[in-house]
Amino acid sequence: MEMIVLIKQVPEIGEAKIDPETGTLNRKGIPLTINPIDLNALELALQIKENHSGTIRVVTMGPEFAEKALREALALGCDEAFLLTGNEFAASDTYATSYALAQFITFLKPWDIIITGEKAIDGDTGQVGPEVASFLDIPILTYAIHCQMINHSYFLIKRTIETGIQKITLPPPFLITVTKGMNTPRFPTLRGKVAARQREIRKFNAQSLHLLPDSIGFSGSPTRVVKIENYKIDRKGVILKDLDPTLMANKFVEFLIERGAL
Amino acid sequence: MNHHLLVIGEIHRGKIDPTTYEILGAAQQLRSKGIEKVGVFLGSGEIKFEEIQKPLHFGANYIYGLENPIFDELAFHVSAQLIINTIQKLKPTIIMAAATTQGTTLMPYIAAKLHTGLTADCTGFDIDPADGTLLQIRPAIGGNIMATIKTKTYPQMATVRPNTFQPVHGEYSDSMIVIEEDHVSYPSGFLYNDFIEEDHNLDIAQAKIVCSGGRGLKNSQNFSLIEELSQCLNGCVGGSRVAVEQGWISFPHQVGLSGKTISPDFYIALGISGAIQHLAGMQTSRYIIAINRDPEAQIFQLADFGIVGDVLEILPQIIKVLKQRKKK
Repeated sequence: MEMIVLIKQVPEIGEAKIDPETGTLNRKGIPLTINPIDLNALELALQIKENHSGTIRVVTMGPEFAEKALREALALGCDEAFLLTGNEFAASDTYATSYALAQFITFLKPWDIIITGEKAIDGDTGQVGPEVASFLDIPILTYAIHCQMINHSYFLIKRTIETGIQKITLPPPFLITVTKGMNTPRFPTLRGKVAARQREIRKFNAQSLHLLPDSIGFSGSPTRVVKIENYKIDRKGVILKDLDPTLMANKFVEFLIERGAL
Repeated sequence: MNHHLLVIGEIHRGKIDPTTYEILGAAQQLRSKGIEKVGVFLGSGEIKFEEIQKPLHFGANYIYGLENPIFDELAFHVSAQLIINTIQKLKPTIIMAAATTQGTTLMPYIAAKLHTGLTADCTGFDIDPADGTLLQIRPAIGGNIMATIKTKTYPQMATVRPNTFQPVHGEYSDSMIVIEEDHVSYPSGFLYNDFIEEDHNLDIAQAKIVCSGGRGLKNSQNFSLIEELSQCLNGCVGGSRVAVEQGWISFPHQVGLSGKTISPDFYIALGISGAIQHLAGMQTSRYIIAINRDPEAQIFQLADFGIVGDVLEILPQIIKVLKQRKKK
């Protein structure tokens, strides 16, 4: 099974705190890491490779230092790593990102399946997976919680939706986005980490892929952020403290009743 | 600019999803600002007139029903193509769908094929008085930041966060319904095996009341208090990342950036301190209520009502009060 895994490097926001003065995220000193849900995508690929054989090529688009994320993926057991990098790609929205990734994935043919995380925790759109599938004109399955290769021509996939779980079998090629609940990502071994240091990360820029400047980065992005504003959270919060638990419990229920919850 | 907005509606087992009416509610607010015509696309294996005419009472000018069994299957790439065919026929300037599992799969697939932008999970809209384009507003990660996004290409596309807008009654005298069939061949090898329905407690994204538990619950036995409270309130059970990682509750219940982003009327955070990744998943809830031992917990910055105290001591009291009230 020839697999491609798409990953993104994101700030480790689990560690971040909101600045109480400004109400915004304090990004200072926050380390960068592989998007946590992409680790589940990598884990799925690694399991398929172990159980059925195959190769895993991991791809990301980002600045030079995104190399670190790719090295982490190599340390886990991926076979090859590719970085799309260069100023021309900067400020891409999901459309421009997906376009560039899809062009690159076409260049990497042949492959059978493409795996990625359901969304990146910094952008939180979940759009790149389906948009890449669309550009490649292949089937898309999102929110997968289970993916099993039945034989070389079929996969069984379960996906979570609002009201339950859907089961489907389909043949490659397809793009699948996985949820965090799918598996427990492994940690790299020391030997894997050491070996990954020596490995080559293959880098490509827009020119080497013959991508037109107008189709990528800021100029290739149809959406524009025109305003960012801090909104005051106008919650006139009543916070009870140091009172009798029964009294506080009654106040709690009163609050719900007054606002129509009951 | 006289906009024509097409809502990609959702229909499940013959019934239109509440989110479709919510988007129509958002559209109604923009009527005076330049949205002239609003249509609802409904694709389903079986179209029943009495159901699909309903959006006409909630501000739709027309309904476009497309009957095809592919919509009840999981071949999104094929259903997306059918929707694209319809879009090319109707030529809307704005397209919206709910940010549900279906909407967030179909919309990006459609947007890429139409070579246009898409804004995810919007919680507000406006029309720019200067150039008439749609302003798409969504919360950005990291506290109380709102981003306003414009799309320079057409159609302008957005997904809409469920539970954010209220349906509004409204009827237009010239409304109409079109029902068509479109034939496509089913993709070879695709087999939709099965649907396993879970209890209704699963759907935290569409629940009006969500009771969520975190680290402060300490163990799975205590976590059952959350379920008990949720039952008293007819709500759904949610959990923080810690609660899911500890196995107190399953992954589909996780609230936060690596789980679900939700916006219920009442979000009750119990023993949750409020890490950024959690807050981003619930900060647009209408009312936020929190119980936590730590008075400095970030969750209190967002709370409308909070109790500083041990959740294990206060929660049983609350459940008792609610149960007594029910008896009366």
